[in-house]
Amino acid sequence: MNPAAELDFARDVAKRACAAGAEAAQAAFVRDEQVEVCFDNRRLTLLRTTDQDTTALAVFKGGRKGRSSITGRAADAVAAGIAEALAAAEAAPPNPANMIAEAPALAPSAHGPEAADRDGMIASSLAHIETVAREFPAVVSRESYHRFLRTRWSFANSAGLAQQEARGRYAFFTMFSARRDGRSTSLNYVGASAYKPFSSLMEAGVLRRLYGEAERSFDPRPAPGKFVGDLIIVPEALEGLVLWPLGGVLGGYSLMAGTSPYKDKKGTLVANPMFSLLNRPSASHFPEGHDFDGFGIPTRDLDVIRDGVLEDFLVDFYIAKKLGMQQTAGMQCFVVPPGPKSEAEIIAETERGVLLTRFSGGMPNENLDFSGIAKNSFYVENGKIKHPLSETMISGNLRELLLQIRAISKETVDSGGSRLPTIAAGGVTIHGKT
Amino acid sequence: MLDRLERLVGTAPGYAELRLHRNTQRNVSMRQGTVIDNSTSTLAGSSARCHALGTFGFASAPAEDDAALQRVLRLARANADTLGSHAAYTDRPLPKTPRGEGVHDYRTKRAKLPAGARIELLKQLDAQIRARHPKLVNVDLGIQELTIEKALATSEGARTYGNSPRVVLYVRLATEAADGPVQLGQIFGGFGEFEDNAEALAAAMSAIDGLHEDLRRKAEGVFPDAGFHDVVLDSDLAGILAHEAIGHTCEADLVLAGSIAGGRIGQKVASEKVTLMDQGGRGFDGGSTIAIHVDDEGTPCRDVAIIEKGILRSYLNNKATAQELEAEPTGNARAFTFADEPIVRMRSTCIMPGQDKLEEMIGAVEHGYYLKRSSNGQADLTSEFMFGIVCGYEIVNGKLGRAIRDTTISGVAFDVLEAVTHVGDTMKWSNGGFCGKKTIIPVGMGGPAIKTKLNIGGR
Repeated sequence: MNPAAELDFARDVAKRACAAGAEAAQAAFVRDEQVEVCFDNRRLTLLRTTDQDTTALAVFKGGRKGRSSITGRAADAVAAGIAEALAAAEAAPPNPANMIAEAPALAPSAHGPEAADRDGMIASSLAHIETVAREFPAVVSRESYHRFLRTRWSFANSAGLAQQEARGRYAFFTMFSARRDGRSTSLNYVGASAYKPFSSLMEAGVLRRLYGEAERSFDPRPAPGKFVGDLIIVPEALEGLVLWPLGGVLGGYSLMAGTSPYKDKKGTLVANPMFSLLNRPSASHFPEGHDFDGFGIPTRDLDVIRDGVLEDFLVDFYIAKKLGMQQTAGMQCFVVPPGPKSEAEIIAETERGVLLTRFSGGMPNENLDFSGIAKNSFYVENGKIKHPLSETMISGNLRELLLQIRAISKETVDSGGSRLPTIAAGGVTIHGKT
Repeated sequence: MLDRLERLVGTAPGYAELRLHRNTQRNVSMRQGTVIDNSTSTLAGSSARCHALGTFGFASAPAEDDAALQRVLRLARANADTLGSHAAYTDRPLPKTPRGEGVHDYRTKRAKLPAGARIELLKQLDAQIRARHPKLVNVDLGIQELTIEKALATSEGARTYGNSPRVVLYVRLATEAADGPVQLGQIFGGFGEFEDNAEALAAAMSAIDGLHEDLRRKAEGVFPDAGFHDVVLDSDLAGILAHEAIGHTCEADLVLAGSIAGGRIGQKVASEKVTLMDQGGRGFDGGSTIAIHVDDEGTPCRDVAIIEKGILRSYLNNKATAQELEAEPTGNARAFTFADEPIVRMRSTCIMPGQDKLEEMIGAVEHGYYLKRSSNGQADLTSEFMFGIVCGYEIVNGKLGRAIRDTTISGVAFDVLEAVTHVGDTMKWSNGGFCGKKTIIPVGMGGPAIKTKLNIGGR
């Protein structure tokens, strides 16, 4: 189908749902085309091409809501999906927050390339294998893929709202360690996406730096004893350790549960004033961004934390209706603005702590307590990186950590869905196995 | 269906797998008494994988008719040819295995319940919980059903159909402690469809009372003393220990990537009390929450003793890793959706039960922790694993003491298993369980309580 036909299909599904008994309906048709070259550190292993059509339907009847999702566009599957959604809605209790959205329609958009450069992807994957063998001979990888994904979203609801956007982007992911003389370093991984083909996969994310660190990590030791020190959190670790849990407790569903520790903190200082957290889902440089959300509402910029002050929560259309709030967000792509210092300067100013490259730990709870292992990380003392770490645990509380930020790097890393610096903060319990 | 697959795969030149694959899900979730998710989804289609010129080609399409099957077969072969022509590798045939066969259909034999039965169950539980525990800040409840249906035929003659359903009820309670909200959750349910489990799920209230008591004590709890401690891991944790700490380390693709388990077959890596298995079917006692009899390469799933009485015996192989390691495929090639290629995955992984009593283990600890419920976990090639702990108690002089707050435990798996002094006599399979490795996939995890030493995070 062409783009116009796909949008017509979404309109038609919503219309048919109403004809079948829904008072209102919305339908999103998503078309994915993917090319993936898989390889390890020695050879290409698989070329994978996939097509996927998904139709997600939501129906509304007397304040009741039901959803269904089907694969493909066959008429019998669509009819079954409508029947499933209606049956689900009829079984649900009424809830006045259940409704379709009214919003301005955007012009259809297309971001990034329309088709994969398949031969170029294979060639750059082969080149990467050769480069790693030549420059980082100890590095081994097993699960690497170079992927092109083209997605087109077509949304329509029964109030006449229709949106369409397409995104084509390249992505690279690799999982790797270093191995020499029967010894292995800890597993690490990195991924990044971009609209343009990577000029070299080595330039994806901070891969070159991480490969080098892996080769320097054959003799890890636990941190010396137990102490309270600093974490210097690089962008790859910042997202998992800090931003995902923070996004959760600053989100509307946490407000609905009444469990967000920030529920009454709007307008107050929640982080060091040098820290800001910005949501930029429609930024042109994010291939993982979105022009509109799951209700068809155009995305917009939101300053969640600005200069340390909690400015707003991440509230989607449903929660806004449920809690009587303004909608502020539907999709998330976080930006943390850089600071004035280099990462090297930040390390040089660290008395004692851990340069945290990967956090492997239990998911922080809503109270934002965290604990876990410092993986692929280094012990820092008197401004110097001393040695790679093993069997070293870190623990603390993210609310306290945000207030104890003491430096933010001027370097940032763009993953395709976030742009983050390195952050240093104190007050973290660090203990190495003794 | 199988005749159709067999006929079409027979037209492919060289090695080929042809699969019809349908995942059906139903999710209902409730927060604060409000239904916030009420949905069904079907992810269905066809896929093929071919091997040629030393590489694989894979293709999938969101359709199940003959035309789609022929198209994915043709594309998969073309993909293998394209990649192989660029790479120019030596073509070696994949190892042959016995032909996986049979129909393994676990659909419910009970009458189907209406969609509303799930919501009614959640409403009843929500009302009971709120009536009995009115001080709770939040109650989250949800029912998640997943049925995986696959039909597979290969050029080597495998032909099989499987239908494996699983349903879980999750319950998550939150209360307010002096320093903020404290939460605790539990998963009920297991193998089978909702209809097979509805009565047991409806009777979950007494266990939820136990969960609430753990939460009440956790709200008054303390952070553990960070360090290396004697611990007793409840049987709920043994499965995640088996999966994260050892299972991943012995997946042959990770062995080839440099896992510490590489080259240690035949060596002592654990206490002789430890036997650790990855099993096909529904596990040795029929209690696992997944069923897998033939893998997605058409290899019959055989039980694998990874560690037998402390000795490392075997890795988990698919055809490609078996070829590289000159080993036998074990039936561990699995794909989660029709659009995924099969990769090495665990199935039902467990530590086999021993002869010790939980009370004896706790009584044998002078100062340490009894760890009762876990959250997420992660493995490493070095075998340094971690998993989150959301419920536990101090042990002082052989008696349970104060509850502890959320923490993480870690250790080097072989060291932790060498330090095992007790293995419990009561086996338990986890009610849910997914593994994440390129894609998620349902896994079975189980075991008895064990006593060992490991690192615990804290303050």
